[in-house]
Amino acid sequence: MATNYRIIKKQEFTDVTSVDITNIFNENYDVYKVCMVGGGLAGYGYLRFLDSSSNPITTANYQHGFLQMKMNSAWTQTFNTYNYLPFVFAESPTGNNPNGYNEAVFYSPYDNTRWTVVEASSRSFVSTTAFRGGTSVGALRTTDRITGIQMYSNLSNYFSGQIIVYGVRL
Amino acid sequence: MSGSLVLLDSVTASNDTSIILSGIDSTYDVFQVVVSNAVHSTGDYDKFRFTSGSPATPDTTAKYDNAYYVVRGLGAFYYNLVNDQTYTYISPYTKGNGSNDITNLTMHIFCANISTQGTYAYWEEASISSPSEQAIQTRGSTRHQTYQTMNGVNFFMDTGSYTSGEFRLYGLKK
Repeated sequence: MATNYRIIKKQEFTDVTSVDITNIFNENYDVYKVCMVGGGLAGYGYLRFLDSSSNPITTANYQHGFLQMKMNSAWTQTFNTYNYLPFVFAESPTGNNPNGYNEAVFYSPYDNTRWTVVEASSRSFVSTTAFRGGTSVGALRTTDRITGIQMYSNLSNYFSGQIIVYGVRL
Repeated sequence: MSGSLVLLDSVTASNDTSIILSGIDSTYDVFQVVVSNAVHSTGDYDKFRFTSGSPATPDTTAKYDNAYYVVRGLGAFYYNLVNDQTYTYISPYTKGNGSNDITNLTMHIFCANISTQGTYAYWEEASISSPSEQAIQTRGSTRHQTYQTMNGVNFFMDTGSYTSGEFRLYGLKK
């Protein structure tokens, strides 16, 4: 029984507007942590889940809530249901501090008897004087078997970075 | 905390009104709890307490200070703090007994094995609450004020039971 967190996949990407992280959720693990370091997005990293054929699920069944804590202005929040999950990975703009650091925990994505739930946090610099922290929750309100994730820029901007996926078997 | 997780206790729920995970001692500095797919027989709040003694017994003294915020899929975020409670809320939102209502969380416990300090916990929850099957993220922390050692955690509800679910306690290897 793999009680330790094991690295399932490490994937780098350069100057992309969308990236698929395929075949990361499977029957060998129950809970997954996904860490992403990236830059150059100048927007938000939106997320969709990949089904058992590694195709993005695009039905409007993603419920999300998001709270953004801004260093230099009032906090903001959103909540709604879309055909994607917004704000799971927050903005990571260009500039003097181009990196954002994000992590998300997925519970039972491969279990096709339950909805998939994810909670995430993000840290990013909008400028040298504007640091932002984000925290979010999302649920795919279907019992699809999820095998991966697709991250894409909400503004179709290019971004680069690295994603590491860890899994633990309970 | 770059070490490995070492499994200390494991419970697979089966209509249990109370779940106790024990095994906290001086072997490790930090402890991690993971709860996955916990299903409830009736609508109620998830709560927890620390345990002490042998056998591990929930500490019910009014010494729990608790602060948390909740990000929700169907409404504005919420936060609160309470002091001198006999338990700690995992979340201020109830889970129902619908097929999609569920509790998932990861918790870290600090200083439980130090008799000259209180015991602290911080958790991140990703669950579906009732009514309306709402995605919720609860991030909370608690402190048990008493300077004593604790040896585990107790998850419970005031009514009903955990019909299923996986509960694990790990030590983080030094």
